[in-house]
Amino acid sequence: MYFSSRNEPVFAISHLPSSIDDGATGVVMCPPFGWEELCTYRTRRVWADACARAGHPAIRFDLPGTSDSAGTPHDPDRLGAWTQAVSDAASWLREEAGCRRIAAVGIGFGGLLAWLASADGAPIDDLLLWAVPSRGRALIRQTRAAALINIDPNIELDGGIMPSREEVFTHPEDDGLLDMGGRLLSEETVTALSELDLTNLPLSNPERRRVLLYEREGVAADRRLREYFESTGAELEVTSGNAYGGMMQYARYAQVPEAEIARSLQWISEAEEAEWRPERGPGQLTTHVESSQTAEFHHDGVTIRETPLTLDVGSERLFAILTEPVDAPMAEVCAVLFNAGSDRRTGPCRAWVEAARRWASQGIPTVRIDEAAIGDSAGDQQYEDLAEYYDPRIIERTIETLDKLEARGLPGRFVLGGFCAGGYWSLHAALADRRVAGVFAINLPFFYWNWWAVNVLHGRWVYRKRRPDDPLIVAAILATLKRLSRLLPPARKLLLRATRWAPNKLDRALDQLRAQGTEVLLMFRPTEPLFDELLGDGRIAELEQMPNMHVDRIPGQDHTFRPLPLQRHVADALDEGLERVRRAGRTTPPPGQACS
Amino acid sequence: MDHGRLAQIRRVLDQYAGLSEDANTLDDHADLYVAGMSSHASVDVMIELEDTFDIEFPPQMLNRDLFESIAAIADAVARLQTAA
Repeated sequence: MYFSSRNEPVFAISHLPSSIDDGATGVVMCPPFGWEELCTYRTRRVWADACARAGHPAIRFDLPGTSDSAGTPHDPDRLGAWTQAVSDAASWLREEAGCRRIAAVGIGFGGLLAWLASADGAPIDDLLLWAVPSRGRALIRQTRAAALINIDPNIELDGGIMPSREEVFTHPEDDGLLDMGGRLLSEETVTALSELDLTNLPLSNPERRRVLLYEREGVAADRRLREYFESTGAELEVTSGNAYGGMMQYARYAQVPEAEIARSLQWISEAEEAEWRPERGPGQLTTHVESSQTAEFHHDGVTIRETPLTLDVGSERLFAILTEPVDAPMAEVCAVLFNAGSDRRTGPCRAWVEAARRWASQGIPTVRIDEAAIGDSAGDQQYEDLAEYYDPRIIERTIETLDKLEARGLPGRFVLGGFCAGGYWSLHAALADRRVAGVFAINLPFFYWNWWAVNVLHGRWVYRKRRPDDPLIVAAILATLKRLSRLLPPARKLLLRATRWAPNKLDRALDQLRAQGTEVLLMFRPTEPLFDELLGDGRIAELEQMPNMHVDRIPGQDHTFRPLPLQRHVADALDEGLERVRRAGRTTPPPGQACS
Repeated sequence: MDHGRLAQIRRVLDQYAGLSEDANTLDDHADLYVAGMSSHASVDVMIELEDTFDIEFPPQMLNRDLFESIAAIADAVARLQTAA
């Protein structure tokens, strides 16, 4: 659903118990920003589900201008908009779910917003804050350092131009700050955050509030926040939160902090059981908040609509968002974008959201979709084994998804796009279904999944982390492989050369794509293993000769193209690719049935 | 190399890097990211190193290579301490 905050549609998901007790405590999950937002998405979903199962209505949402909410990071007063969104989420819970008491759960930056909203009179009573700094400048310093350490700044644009470090990490229009997740904080937001000291923004009625501060592994809760609560008479509890590091991993590896979630439910229940000072304090305002199942907003001067979809595909229930034009005629092609690895449908650096809105404003309906157990799709698959991303059943589901979308009245000619595994699904769906007129694959890992591709080409065994239950022999092999890892790239090249004569399914696949007129855009960073392999055996030059095949070199080393010049490069290449698909559609007859 | 400094760095890594093995068993040149240090943890390591050695890493010094190994960290810390 979407709720309206300052007239901006905010994407939200509510988690409501089957029956809501009178006087139940509602829970607002306040999202962090950027990388931490990506890492904790699954955790916040599980946490909100657990709240609902325990009888507490919960709501989680995307900050205005980020992820699936409307707007951009460049819109004015983001900090004010984010604070208001927290407040409106709390009001929605109080009004729609009848909650008598509201607790806000804030991790990192989310906790800072929970405080700001509370200080501003939001109907929030209790605060659960995990690793929340009292000063915004500490947060900015950590954000800046994380980006500088972890984003590869090596870029070479056309003509051999190498952008400066500042150009890589800041936006030319407003000098913002790039986060490790490839998300931008505008300069206005950075300035506002840098000046922020929570302890200078007192909370009303602190003596009526309950506060639970979670520490981190080896890091105490912020001393100034703790002293503030101690001095103002809030009911304060400080406890360990040792699952923080495990939670803040790339989505595929992120661990849900089960013990901390359980403790939070207990903490909420304790207040309900004791009927802990439930009366409202002065200064807390509940406002009426409009909500709806779709969102309409302007993009590039055109009104577009976003609608969350639930698609029952095979035995799975997949979540997707359709972006479509409202008034403009619908184009002849529908774009479908898949989640990147275990990151949800928003795409690397929010690229899918931005592409969907650009394309919808040109009349092209675009669907961004979560595969099973990723993002908001149902399922509890962990994708611990890389092979799970390349399960043939995903290709079957992809084709069935196209059936469902066509049955909804969307055009029966598709362009599929994905990053890494998502590119693999797109390509293989095109080989199985002639309705797929175009494929965009960014950093495709391999054309065919097999033991060689994964363990040698992809180097999975070298980078696999040791697990506590690994037998000693596995641990010894891993340790040896890690020591030998420096030798791997040259050894791999030798092996590739030695096996170049081997029959390759790739030739047959490329012939088929060419014969059926499928436009293919392959985008690679220079160090991507498959690109290296194709370059090594001279195949890149062959591909570039094919009329339906376009190979784009992403001019930087960062796998998820986080530096801003790379983000712009990828967006432009995708737009050009889409235009080629549209042009091809004007000159070729519509596709027939799926090929055998 | 200064063994006291190396020992302090290993202590910081043990506490904050989330390594899959004991930092004391790691070779000075072992890749810390391969040894399990996450991107997020690298920032915690940086902040704790600053506190431990009373230094501040300037932005132009911050990059992935800086935290790639114990030896690289020790070299950077030594340079900052010398410059101070």
